[in-house]
Amino acid sequence: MNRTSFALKPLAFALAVAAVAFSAPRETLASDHADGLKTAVDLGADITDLFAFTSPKDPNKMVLIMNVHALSFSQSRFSNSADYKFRIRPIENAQTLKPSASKEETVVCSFAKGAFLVAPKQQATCVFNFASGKETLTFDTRSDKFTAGGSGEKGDIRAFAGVRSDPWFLDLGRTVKLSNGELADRTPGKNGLNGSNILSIVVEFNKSRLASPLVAVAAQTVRK
Amino acid sequence: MNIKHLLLALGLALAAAPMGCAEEEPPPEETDDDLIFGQGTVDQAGIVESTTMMLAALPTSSQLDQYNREDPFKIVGTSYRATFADRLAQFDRADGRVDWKTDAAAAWADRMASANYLVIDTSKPCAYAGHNYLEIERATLTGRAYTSCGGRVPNEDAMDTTINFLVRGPGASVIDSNALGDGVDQATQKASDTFPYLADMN
Repeated sequence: MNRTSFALKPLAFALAVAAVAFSAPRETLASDHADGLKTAVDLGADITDLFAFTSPKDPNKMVLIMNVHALSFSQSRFSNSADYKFRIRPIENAQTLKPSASKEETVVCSFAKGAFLVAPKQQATCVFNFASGKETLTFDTRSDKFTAGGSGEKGDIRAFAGVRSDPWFLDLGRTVKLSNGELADRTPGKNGLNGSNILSIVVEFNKSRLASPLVAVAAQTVRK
Repeated sequence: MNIKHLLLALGLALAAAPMGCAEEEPPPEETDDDLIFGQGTVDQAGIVESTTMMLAALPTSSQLDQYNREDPFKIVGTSYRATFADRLAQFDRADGRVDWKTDAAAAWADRMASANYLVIDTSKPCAYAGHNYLEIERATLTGRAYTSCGGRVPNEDAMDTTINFLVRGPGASVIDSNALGDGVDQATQKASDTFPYLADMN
């Protein structure tokens, strides 16, 4: 075994993330991108956006999207030591919109295999845990169907994991000014995330699987 | 070349170096990031700009990492409530008017200090090219019935919705004549209406 090379890999990784850390705190990318010193370094577990909607093609399908890693490129991969969780709780009081304190359904995706920079293909496992039952989907994060992504399907359940165009858009300078109390003029702005990519997890399932139609949805990354 | 690029180049060069060793064994199952990061929650997300606008003006605030590490359905830190309330009051004054009623502002600060989540009603229609984000919250805060699914669809301008919500109050619409915005209305590539929805990488 080439011990020197394996000793260098953590150092290489540390240097690469240090590069991100040096740049991120100056100006946030917002939504939820690099929204703190720790997440600006731990990009693989830094959630950038969460989406929840019913499919425009089939309103009976619930779609959840969690994006991470604001500086993704074709070789980027998910962390093998993190769980990527969609957490869904019924809202029992429509006036307060407070979610249940105890009832929860989840979709948890985890990843294995692959290697930093040189082998982006990972094995994804997404566990759908509903009140009505549990389903597990396993697939590769690279396939011929996508430039840098892969998907799996079982019955009404589908999941995708891979690199996509970042759907977030904003004028960074104007957002920073607004954050400090200064309103922007009404002229066209400049998308500070133009050309950016993210790592995305997309899951889809029949909405009838959920215990309630009115739900609270959160995303969470947890290092194991 | 600035320091960011220098460090990135050094990192990439060191990472690529082992590739040339023909006799090298396969990499271990353990990943590089295992060696650097600890355990537990790294990040949680629900409401757009919950941290970078609503909780702090700068991404260096110490409250951000702390808030990110919270359970999104059971936030226990006690310091956020006052900050959310103060920040909301600051945004509300940005246009020279006070639009948020006291009870609604308190309800929003309470919500963000206790949990961070999207609300979606899957029995209502999601306008894929329209405005759904925060509609349920805005309706609830102003005492009217909501009509959309809420949640959040990829192409909608959640930043403009957020700006109008914070500055002009929960009764303000993102599409009326006085609507504020950041002047950017679309991502690099629009999401499609078919799985996996988000556009291919750039």
